[in-house]
Formats: sequence, structure tokens, C-alpha cells
Amino acid sequence: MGRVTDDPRIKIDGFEGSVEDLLLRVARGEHDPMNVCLDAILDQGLPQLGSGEKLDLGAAAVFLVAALRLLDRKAVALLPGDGPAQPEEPGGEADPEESAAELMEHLMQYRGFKEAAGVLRRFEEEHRHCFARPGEDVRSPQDTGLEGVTLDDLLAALGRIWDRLDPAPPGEIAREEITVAARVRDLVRGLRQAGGESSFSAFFSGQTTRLEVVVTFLALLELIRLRRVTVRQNAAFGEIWIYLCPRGVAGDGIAG
Amino acid sequence: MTGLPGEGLESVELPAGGLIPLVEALLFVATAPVSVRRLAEATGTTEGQVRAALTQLAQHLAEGWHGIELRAVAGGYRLFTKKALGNCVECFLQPARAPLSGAAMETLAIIAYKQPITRAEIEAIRGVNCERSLRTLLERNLIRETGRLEAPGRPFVYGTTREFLEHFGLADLSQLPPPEAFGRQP
Repeated sequence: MGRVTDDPRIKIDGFEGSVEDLLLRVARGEHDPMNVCLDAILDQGLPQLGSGEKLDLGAAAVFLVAALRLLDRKAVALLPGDGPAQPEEPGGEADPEESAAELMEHLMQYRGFKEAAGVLRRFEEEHRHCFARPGEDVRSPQDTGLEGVTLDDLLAALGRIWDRLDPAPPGEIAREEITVAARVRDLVRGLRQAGGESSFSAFFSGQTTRLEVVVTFLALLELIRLRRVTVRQNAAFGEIWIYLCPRGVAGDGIAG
Repeated sequence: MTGLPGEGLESVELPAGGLIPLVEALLFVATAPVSVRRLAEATGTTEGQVRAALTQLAQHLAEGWHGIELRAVAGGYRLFTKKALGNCVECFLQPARAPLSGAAMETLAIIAYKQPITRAEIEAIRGVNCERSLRTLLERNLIRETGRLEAPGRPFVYGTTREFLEHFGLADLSQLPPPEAFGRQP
């Protein structure tokens, strides 16, 4: 099986490949950990990860973890005899043999997923040259559905509604089960009835308790995340408006 | 027949030749994959008839002078531009389609094969923190929180979405190679 990702390649005495391949060889006993020079590995590998703006943090993290595991294996190999008589600590190497097997299994599993990622990459590459009619609400992944509105604006508007609420009324307060999902459905229905648009204040009309207001706000955030609504604020500190987005032919999991 | 859905079609044995243009028209205007069941309902025909029409439509479109083709994705059917024309179409549309990073792709592969799975389990496999990858994948709607694990902390569990299938051009998850195909000894 060839490489599936661009892991940094290193070349040290008797071995050429990725750090993870080296780790696998060491775990299988095919390569002497004493023969592993961390210095050389870092010197060769780090430049391949890019630098400054181009540094691939994800790949760098994985590379460093593998290098540290090699260091760990080397440290274990350096210890005389059966290793120090230590009480079982969490993460302690009480039985080097066993942990080598565990390490190997873990590495094989991870290698499997890297290959799977390579397969997905090929599917992605195959498909990205095929285009279909864009949906009415097609937007780039970066589009948040917030036009001229920041999260701070939303929170400020929420604050104004919060302040207007009475503190919890005296007397018995029944613990009512309001789920965010149910509220989302209510809000979509309400927006439809209002002709697809509503002001932020109107969204919260009829909400008297703090719990209701919080659940409604969470439901609004959920609708934004699901791209079911667009939120717009035309003037600074002006009223915020919420618009229901037209749906594509396929549903998006929300009934109603 | 003017082709209006439901117009006297319910009890009529519609020849496949008459259904093909209708199915093509519906798929042309659809903005998402359409299931066979939905097409049958819309045309007042049976699923078997729709499938026959789809097969013939696919054959017609596969001919050289059509620029679009019929494909099965995400549990339904959809018209796509042919791959060979991709470059020009892409320039024309100028969509924002950044490919996924290696880390995000690995995380996605793990979720695709092991769903439902928690963030902690993903991080145990990759050995590194996955917060950034998970956030990217959630933002692009390729994964979603499908529920919570009944365990202390009640962490979220993640699974892939229909958008995931569409992004990779898969009809359904079974189109992914079986897990046994991976992780063989080099």
C-alpha cells in the first residue's frame, strides 16, 4: 500500500518513509529503537510541514505525536532488564511487551483510517468536476446567513428583551418541558404564518419567562446554523429582522 | 397529454416514452436529489415505471452531444454536468469550493465509518485534538450532532449528513469501501 497523505518523509539508517511507518516498524520489532535519532527526524520532517502562514498545524500535530511516541519507545528500550518496579500508574509502561502490541493495533487502526481518508479524497476529486443546478438557497460554506448582524448585535437585542422580563413570578412554578427542537418547529410555523418574515422583538412576543426566552434564542441560533433563516439589521442598533429561507426540493430534516 | 402532474394519469398505463420527458423536466428544475418515490408521486405513475424511464433517460444523456448526465446521489437522482466539462463550468459558476484539509478528511473518514462516535473517541484514534476539524466539518454541514451518548457528561455523538453524500457523489453510505479493505500490512 502506498502513501495516502503527504506525511513528511524521513530517511534514517536503514529506513525511509513516514514517522508513523517507522513507529510501526519499531513496535513490530523490525527496527531497533536505539537506532532512532530524534534529532535527524525533526530536522528532516519539520521543514516539510511548511512554516509561518503555510504551516499545516494538523499535520504538524500528528507528526509530533508520532515522534514523541518514538521517543517513548526508545526510552523504554534504554531501561535495563524488565523496566523499573513501579506501581501501576495511569499511562505507565508496566508491561512493555503488551503496550507494544496495543501501540501496533492502534497504529494499524489509524493507518486504516488514513487510507479511508485517501479514498474519500478520490471520491471528492472525482465529483468536484460535476455540477448540478444550485439550490435557491445555495451559499458558500462561509456564508453564515447573517447580513450586517454580528453575534454581539444578537446578544444585545436579546439583552433588551431580557431586561423587560419580570423576575420569576412568586408562587408555584411548574417545571415545563420545552425542547429547542419543538421551539424550532413552532418558530418556522410562526414565520410562515407571518409571511416569511418577523422582527426580532416579535419573535419573542408572548414569552414571559426566562426559560422561554433562552429556549427561543437557542432555537433561533439553530435555525441560523441550519440555514433556514437569514438575519438582517439595516441600521446600527436598529431592529433586527429574521427571514425564512425558501427550501430546496429535498427536506432538511425539519418537519412542517 | 399536456404533462400536468396528476392529469388523468393515475389509472393510465403510461408508455415509458411519454414519461421520460416528464421525468427529465422534473429533474431539470429540482434543486436537490429527487427520490424515485417522489417522482412516481409527482407523475402519477409507479416506481417501476419511473425506474424504467430513468434508465432510458440515462442512456439518452450518456450520448456524446449531451452536456449533462443522470446520477444517483444521496438516495435520489439528479442531473449533473459531465465531468469532462468541469473546468469550464467551474469558471462559469465561480463557486467557493475549498477542498478539505488532510486533518479534516481523516476526521471525516473516522466519523463516516464509525458513526455515531464521540469527539473523545475520534481524538483517541487520531492522537490529537480534533476541535478545529470538527468545527470545519460542522460548518460545511458534512457532519452533524446526531444525539448524545448516555454516559457521564452526555457528550455529543456525530454522524454524516446528506450533504456529505452529495459532496462525495455517493448514492448512499454502502458505496464506501468496506472497512476490511483498509489497514492491511504494507
